[in-house]
Amino acid sequence: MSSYVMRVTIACPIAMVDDANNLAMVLGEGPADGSTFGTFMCEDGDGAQYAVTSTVARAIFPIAATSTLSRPVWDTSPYAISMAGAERAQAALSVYDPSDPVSPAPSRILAVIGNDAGAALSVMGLTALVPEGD
Amino acid sequence: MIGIGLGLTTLRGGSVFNPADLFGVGDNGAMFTVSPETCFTDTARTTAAGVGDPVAGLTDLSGGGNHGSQGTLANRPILRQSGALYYLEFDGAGDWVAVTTGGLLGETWAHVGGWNSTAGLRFFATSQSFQGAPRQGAAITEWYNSSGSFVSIATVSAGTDHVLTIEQASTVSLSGRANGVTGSTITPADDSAAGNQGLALGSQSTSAGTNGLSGKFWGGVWIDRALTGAERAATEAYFADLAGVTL
Repeated sequence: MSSYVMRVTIACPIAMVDDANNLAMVLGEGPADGSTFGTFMCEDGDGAQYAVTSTVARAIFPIAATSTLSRPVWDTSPYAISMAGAERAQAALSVYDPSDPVSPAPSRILAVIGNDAGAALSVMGLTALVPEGD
Repeated sequence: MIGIGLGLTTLRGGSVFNPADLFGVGDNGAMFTVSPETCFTDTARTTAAGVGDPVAGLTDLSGGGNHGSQGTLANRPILRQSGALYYLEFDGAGDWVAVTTGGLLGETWAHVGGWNSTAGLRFFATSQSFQGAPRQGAAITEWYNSSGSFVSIATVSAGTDHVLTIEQASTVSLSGRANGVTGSTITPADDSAAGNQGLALGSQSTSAGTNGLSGKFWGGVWIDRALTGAERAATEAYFADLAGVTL
C-alpha cells in the first residue's frame, strides 16, 4: 500500500517560482525538486501566468507544509536551498477551501487537494498554456 | 503468430515471443513494461515502486541500458494497477520520464506501445521541439508533417486504451497504426534530426517536461530499424496483452 494518499495541484505566481522551488526542495526528496515549478505553465482569465505542478503526496503533507521548516540533511554547505525563500513561499501558501474559495493571485500560492489535476485547474480558473507551434 | 494470453505470443519456431528479442547485435533502442518489477521509487532503481507510488526509475528491458528516470518528485508518473495489469499515470501537469537526449534512434525506427491519452504528447523522439511526437486529437493520433501541420497517422479515440504503432521507414516516410489497423503514411518534419534522436516519455522535449501527456502508458518498445510483418504483429499482440486491448 502506497503512502501517497492524495494528489495536490499547486499554482504559483511567476514572481514566486524561485521561492516555491526552494520550498519544494525542503518538502521533497532532493535537489532535483528545485525544478518542480517552471515548466508547466497556465494562465487565468486575465492572462496572468502561473507555474503549476501536480503530484501525489503523503498524508502528512498538509501538516508538513504548514509547520516550521527545517533544512534537509542532504543540503550541506554551500547550500542549494534558500530557507528564506522557502519561508516566503510557505507564508504565501493557501490550501483551497471549497467553503471559502479563493483564486490564484500574484501574492498567493494556491494548493488544491483532489484526485484530478485537470479538475484542480478548473477549480482555480486556470488553463494550460500550449507551447508555440502546437 | 499465436496470441495465447498475457505476453505469451509466438513469433517463430514456437518460442514465446518477447519484444526484447527484437534487439540483435547493433540494434539500439529501449523497451519498457510497467510493473513493480520494472518501476522504482529512486532514479538508481534500487527500491521497487508499489501501486500508487511516484516512479523515479524505469528499467529498460532492451539490454541497452537506456533506463528511464525522473528526479523531480512532482514530475514523476504514478504506478497504477487495473486488474492484473499495470500502467503509468501521467497527470498532464508536468509528469515525464527522461530516457536519453540523443543517439537512440536513426533515420529508420519503429515504436509499438500501449497508450491511453486524453491530451498532450505521448513521447518524443527527435531533437526538434514537438516535431517528433505523437499528439492526441479527439479521434485521431497526429504527427507533425513536412508542411508544418499536425496530421492524422492513426484513428484512435481520446481516452481509450489502444496499441499504437509508428514506423519511420525513412526521413520522408512515417506511418501509423492503431490496434493493428493501418492508418496513414506522411512525410514527417524531423528529417534534420535523423540519426540522433533521443527519447522521453510524456513530453515534447527530451530535456524538460512540456506539453505533457495526460493519460496512461502500459509499456512500449522503440528500436532503430524497421520491423518485419511478423515482428510487428507479434509486438502489437504483446503490448495489446499488457494494455488489455483486443486487436
